[in-house]
Amino acid sequence: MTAAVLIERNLMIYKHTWYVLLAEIFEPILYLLSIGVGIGVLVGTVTDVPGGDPVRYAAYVAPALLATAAMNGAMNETTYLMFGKLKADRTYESMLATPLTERDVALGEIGWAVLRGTLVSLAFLAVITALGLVRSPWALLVVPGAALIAFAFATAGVVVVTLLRDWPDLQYVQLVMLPMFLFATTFYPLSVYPRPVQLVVQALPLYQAIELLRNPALGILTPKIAVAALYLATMGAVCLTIAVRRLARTLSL
Amino acid sequence: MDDAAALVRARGLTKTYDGPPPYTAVAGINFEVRRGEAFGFLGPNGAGKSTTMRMIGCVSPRSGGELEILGRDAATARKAIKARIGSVPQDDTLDTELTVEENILIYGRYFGLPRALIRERTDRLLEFARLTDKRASRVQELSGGMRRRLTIARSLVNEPDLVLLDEPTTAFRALTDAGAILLVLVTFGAVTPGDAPRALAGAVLTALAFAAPLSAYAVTAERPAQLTAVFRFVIMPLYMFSGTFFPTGQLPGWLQKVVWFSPLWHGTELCRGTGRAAIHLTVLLALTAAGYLAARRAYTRRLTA
Repeated sequence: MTAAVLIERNLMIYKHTWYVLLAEIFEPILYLLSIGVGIGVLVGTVTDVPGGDPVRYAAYVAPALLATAAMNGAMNETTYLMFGKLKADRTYESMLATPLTERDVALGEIGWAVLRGTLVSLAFLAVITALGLVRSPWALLVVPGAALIAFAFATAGVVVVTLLRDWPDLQYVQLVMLPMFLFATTFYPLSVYPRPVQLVVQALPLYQAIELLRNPALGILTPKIAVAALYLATMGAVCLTIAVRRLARTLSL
Repeated sequence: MDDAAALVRARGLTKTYDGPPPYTAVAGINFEVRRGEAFGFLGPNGAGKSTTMRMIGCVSPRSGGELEILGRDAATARKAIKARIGSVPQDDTLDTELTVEENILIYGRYFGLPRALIRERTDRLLEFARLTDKRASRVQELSGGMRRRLTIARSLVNEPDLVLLDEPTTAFRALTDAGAILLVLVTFGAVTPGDAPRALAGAVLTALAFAAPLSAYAVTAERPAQLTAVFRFVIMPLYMFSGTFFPTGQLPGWLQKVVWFSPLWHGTELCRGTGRAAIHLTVLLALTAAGYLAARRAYTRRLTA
């Protein structure tokens, strides 16, 4: 696997800037304290948990924040950071002058994004366990789940990065990511929406990502987990095919 | 020397782009470079020099003609050819977050060379580039000339048969537009028309209070990641707890006192029209002034260094 050298490069860089990874788990923790605990005082208990017992608001929000962290980490790595390496630092230009291929670049960066997402999810899981927000041992499923989420969004991110023309275009990515974060049942159950809106929300990848993590974290074993896993695996596989092809074209012009 | 010894052999080499608009960058050129020869392309901007170099470097596929490098076809033996080439691009593409030594190490790894072999070659390369005493320095601390020398040293890590040197001409510049973000904030803020002027003033003052000290920090920061860290460790907590989502009264007493030092809290109060406007205004203006002075000093020091 020649692509593994990209992971080696990222590890070398993060050896100097490890605090960036620390910061990545810091953000969901902030949301957890502010919204989960702070607003949680106003909300109380969430009774509307399909297939499960009522839970503390913080315990309800925590897995969704983890899904969001895995998504943001992966997307950040393959959109913002990758665009920087593509346009400003021209990192890939120097890589392609060596025996590395465009395919190695795509696979290596996606591999690193998945590894990073998994590390961050492990750390966040430790934090929410320490806070007593995890009750079921099924919560361990959250780690491979987060890796799958990172894979789906990292590959999508590479597809997106090949479509960006210049820095301002990154605003379009924010235009999609932020509303998705706010509305994909992160902070309240799907039942608050009228039926037609529910269908739209259920089609969102972040909704599926949240389903994939929230159910096992709350100890609810439902076919929805399998559906979500299938959705994200398909999304990742399709995006991977497109990503490798498009990146090869972008880099070799 | 006969034809077989030619390092590069091009016949009718062509590069066209589909566009739009479609254009021909290289229109059927012939040339030959032999071992031991220093061969140069001369021409004005847009003549196709870089494109030709990229085709020789097997980075850009040719559109037509023949191109043989080290006796092999550039289209089919890409990986094998690239393993024997050293490339010095137009702009420095060093890893600025890594040290001098690490730059050579990772670059050698791209060629699949074992770490021990790379380390052995590193000593010689650094000596050649007169960078031995800078071995543990980060690239950001190097002068332009040193960076150039490192780029050349790095390109020799695979002991290439052919070295490609492309001239430096351009520098990339990232543009940001803070004004647009401010406009979006005002547009989407749920503010009645009557309250709009005060909210706008609050937003502008908050932006200024943040922009001045942050830009001072940005000039002194050595790595982009430091700025990301400031965002996550300073800005995000302020964003979360400055009465943004829930009243600060809900926080424990000591934390309420800490929030008083948050410029965002003063800005939020101003925008909401709660609290004593005069105090918030004074705090934000004082911060802006202090930040401006710090930024001016940081810029001056940076520019005269």
